Amino acid sequence: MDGLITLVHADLSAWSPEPCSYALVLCTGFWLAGVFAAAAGAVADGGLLAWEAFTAGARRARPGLQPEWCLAPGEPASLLPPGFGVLDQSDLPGRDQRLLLARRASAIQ
Amino acid sequence: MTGWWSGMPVPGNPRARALARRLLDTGIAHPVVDGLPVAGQPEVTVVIPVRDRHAELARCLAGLADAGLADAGLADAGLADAGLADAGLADAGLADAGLADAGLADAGLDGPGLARALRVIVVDDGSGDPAALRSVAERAGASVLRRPVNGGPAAARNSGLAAADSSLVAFLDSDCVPGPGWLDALLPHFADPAVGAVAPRIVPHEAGRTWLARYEGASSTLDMGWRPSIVRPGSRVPYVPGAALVVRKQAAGTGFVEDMQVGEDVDFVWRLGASGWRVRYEPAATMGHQHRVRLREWFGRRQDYGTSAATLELRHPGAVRPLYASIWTAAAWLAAALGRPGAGALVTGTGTALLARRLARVTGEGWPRPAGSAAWRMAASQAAGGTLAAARPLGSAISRTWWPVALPAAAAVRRLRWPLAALVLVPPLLDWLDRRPPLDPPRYVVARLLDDAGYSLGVWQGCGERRTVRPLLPVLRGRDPASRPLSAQDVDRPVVSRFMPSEGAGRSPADGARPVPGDHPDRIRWNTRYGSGPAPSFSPNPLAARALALGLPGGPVADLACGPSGAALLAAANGRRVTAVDVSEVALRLLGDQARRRAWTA
Repeated sequence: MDGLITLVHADLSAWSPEPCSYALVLCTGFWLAGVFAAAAGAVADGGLLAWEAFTAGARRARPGLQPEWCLAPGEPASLLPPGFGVLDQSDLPGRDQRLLLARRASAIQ
Repeated sequence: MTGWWSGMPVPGNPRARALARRLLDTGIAHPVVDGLPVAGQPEVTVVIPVRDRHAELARCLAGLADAGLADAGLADAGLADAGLADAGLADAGLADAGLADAGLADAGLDGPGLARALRVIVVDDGSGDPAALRSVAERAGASVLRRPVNGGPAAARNSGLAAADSSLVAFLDSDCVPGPGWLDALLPHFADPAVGAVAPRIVPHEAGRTWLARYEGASSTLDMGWRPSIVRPGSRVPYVPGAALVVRKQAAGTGFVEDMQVGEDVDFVWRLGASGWRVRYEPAATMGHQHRVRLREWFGRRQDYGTSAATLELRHPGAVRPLYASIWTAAAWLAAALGRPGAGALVTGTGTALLARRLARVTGEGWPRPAGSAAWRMAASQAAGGTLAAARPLGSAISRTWWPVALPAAAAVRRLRWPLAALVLVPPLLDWLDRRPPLDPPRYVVARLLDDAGYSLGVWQGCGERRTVRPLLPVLRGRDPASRPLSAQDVDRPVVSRFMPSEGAGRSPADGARPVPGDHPDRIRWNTRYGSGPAPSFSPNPLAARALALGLPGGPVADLACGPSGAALLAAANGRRVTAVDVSEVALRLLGDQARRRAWTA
């Protein structure tokens, strides 16, 4: 199994993935809008983008959370580039977190 | 110095270095060597003592050759395509056709331009068929040292040690299976001139199918766990096995004690420590090992280990005792076991109050203080918490040493039965919870109790042979619970401290990533979080499971800000290649270790 996993030590804000190269780009518990844009670009045709992050409401219980680490209303779906269809965007009950599942359209319809 | 805990370099001034040394020596901190340069490319001689085990030796040498190929970058030259890199040379055909003919062993082990020069000495310890053994060794480019009479592992290792002319000697048993990069995480430790020996984590070479193999895979006595440590009696890792050990030749002296047929490796590392050398356990380096998984052989080996307790205790007084506890803890548990839990609670309460009174002098609080004061909180944690936590070592002491006394006592005195049974079951059940082995709790508990029974039979046998009872006696310390010296167990967190500056620790960047600076605040924050928390659960986020269950095109998965991620493991278990990205190398190491462990136990 470990042969399948490549560990990359990197600051995501300085990480630039190859465009359209991943069947699934997954991120949970982290938010930076710039990283989201790069990650969306890395999703292959027909692939999925799955994201889960805190909403701004989480700052009430966690004042240390910076505003830029939290989703604004409508995000992250509102930041998706063209070509993505949203499968689900919903707030997790009682957890000040929101998830997004979106699929990039296949090149061949 | 708070930054040290998360990987910041220790400054060069003497006081800071002295403090860092103290933290390392007490086991409170561990050096971060990932990414440290290996000074001067030290030469390493690999010494393999062996008697007749041709197939095991061939596989071990093949592993070394693979590692040599990987280090040398020869795989890129097309040699790996020939299938030789994965030859697993126990397949005799490949051994014959492969390394010798192609000259790859020489290229891999001694060729020019290699990252590291390895010389391999096979010590034939009185084999019945020396010609066959020589043939296996020489085909792989190793030289052979023949001992006409079998002298045991200590004597054979000493022969190899004497013949080695390098600054470092790596002892490998023939049932080890080295993989690519096996030395990479070990050698940087020798940048510290005080380090005399470093041991990797020993893990099963292949997945086990039987219940015993699965138990061994998760709980082998050769596997000292996932946390790095200094090695010495009383620390989290009190010894390391000699099956795989890299030693600074200057520190090794005359080597192993030759009249010890078992436990000679433990004695060796303890003598290194006693003479001022530091011995370190580095689980980031792993060594595959063919465990014994046939019941009779396995049980016999456990018994052998037990017989060494008496010799080791006589050579290192106080180091091999069944239990180390304060007299308060012992008195409380004795009262409880005798059916007087109230008296036990009273003893613990008294000990806690005495400790709180002492601590109040340190905290500057008056006495008596209300229960919420710092002195009371610390006393409750240390004294009362310590007494409760002692259930585990106490139970282990009963099952690993004292059961020949405890069993008749429980048979004779009815009220002892339940307390003793509970104490004996606590350690294996807690172990099961810690390790989550691929074995159900009942079978794990049975295997663990068998393991303990084998060991304890050996302990009693050794006591009889050496005419001593010392390995059967507990060490009860202190007039009060605060008198115990600080040890690694008191500060049970795997903190890290870099004591040499380094940049860019971690795996090679991919996908255009740049090295993460050592003072990156997120790196420090998350390293601290993952380094000081409990062992991660590796449960995948439900969103990961949901996404993987939806239709996906072919291609890899990226797990961003992965942490010690169950999602990456789940995706890999689904056959996906995964790129797991995180700013914390501690999280990545946890994830990588777990991935390797699951691969071995799958």
